Amino acid sequence: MRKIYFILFFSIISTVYSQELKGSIEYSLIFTDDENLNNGDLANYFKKAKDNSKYISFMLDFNNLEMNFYPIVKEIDGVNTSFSIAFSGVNGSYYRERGENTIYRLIDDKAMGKHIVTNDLNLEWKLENEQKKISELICYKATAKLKSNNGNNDFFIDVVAWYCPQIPYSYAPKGYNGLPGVVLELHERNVIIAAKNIDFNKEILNISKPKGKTITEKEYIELFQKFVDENDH
Amino acid sequence: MKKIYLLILFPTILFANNIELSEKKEIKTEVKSKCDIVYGDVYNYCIDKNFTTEAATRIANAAKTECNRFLKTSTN
Repeated sequence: MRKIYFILFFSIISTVYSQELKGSIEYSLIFTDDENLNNGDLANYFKKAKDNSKYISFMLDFNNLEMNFYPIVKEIDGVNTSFSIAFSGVNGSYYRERGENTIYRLIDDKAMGKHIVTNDLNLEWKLENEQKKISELICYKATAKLKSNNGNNDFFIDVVAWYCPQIPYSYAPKGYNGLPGVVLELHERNVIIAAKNIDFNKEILNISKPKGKTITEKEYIELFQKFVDENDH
Repeated sequence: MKKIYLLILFPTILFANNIELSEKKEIKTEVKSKCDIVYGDVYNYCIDKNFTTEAATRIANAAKTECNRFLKTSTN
């Protein structure tokens, strides 16, 4: 009888706990130096991106079922944040269900309108032994290589993630999947998305699956390039 | 006499207006082509440095937008 009580008590506690683990993580955008960007044709634009990155932050809202990652841009007269956003590699808000690979990215552009772009991403993570504390939480390092193609050639982008098993959901900036804890710091090329504030008590979370017709990344890029060709803005 | 003045004045105004319009069109075309070149240069540089197509398009588009804004303000 004691055993039954214990099992019942334990399952109730774990259910309640897993249901209540929700929250919101605020991230900063940081650019580190890169020889290709500090000099050459992009130097001027990259400097603007670095100077104005302080006006950009990202939010990861999550619960035990789903997550949403999105940028927040502080609008200030005379400050052009478009380069910071463009160099960050983040475009739109990224929604993913826990345990699923498909990322639904809602791109809401003033000029182009709304598009829902889907991407099935399954990175092969290598778990490393290194650890560090981020916001008083112990995080572990993981690395992966993101295969990419830009029509010119195939290449790999090095990705480093610092994940936190104390928040045991496989959520991350840009919707990355596959690690045994929420990613509190993500490095991609020279872009760092780093947690600066974690709130487990936020009342209203911005999580909802985008509804509507979906398109692939390739289709979206074609639409975007066509739009740029035809419009001056 | 008044009629003759009007007959001379009217085509002159039309002609002047046309010149102004074509000048504006020329400036607009010049801005477009200059900024398209900026777009192309930045896009190709990004692709060459192994940026993804989407990132290259977005960076180049930001450069084009800035170029358009700059040339429009300097020609106004």
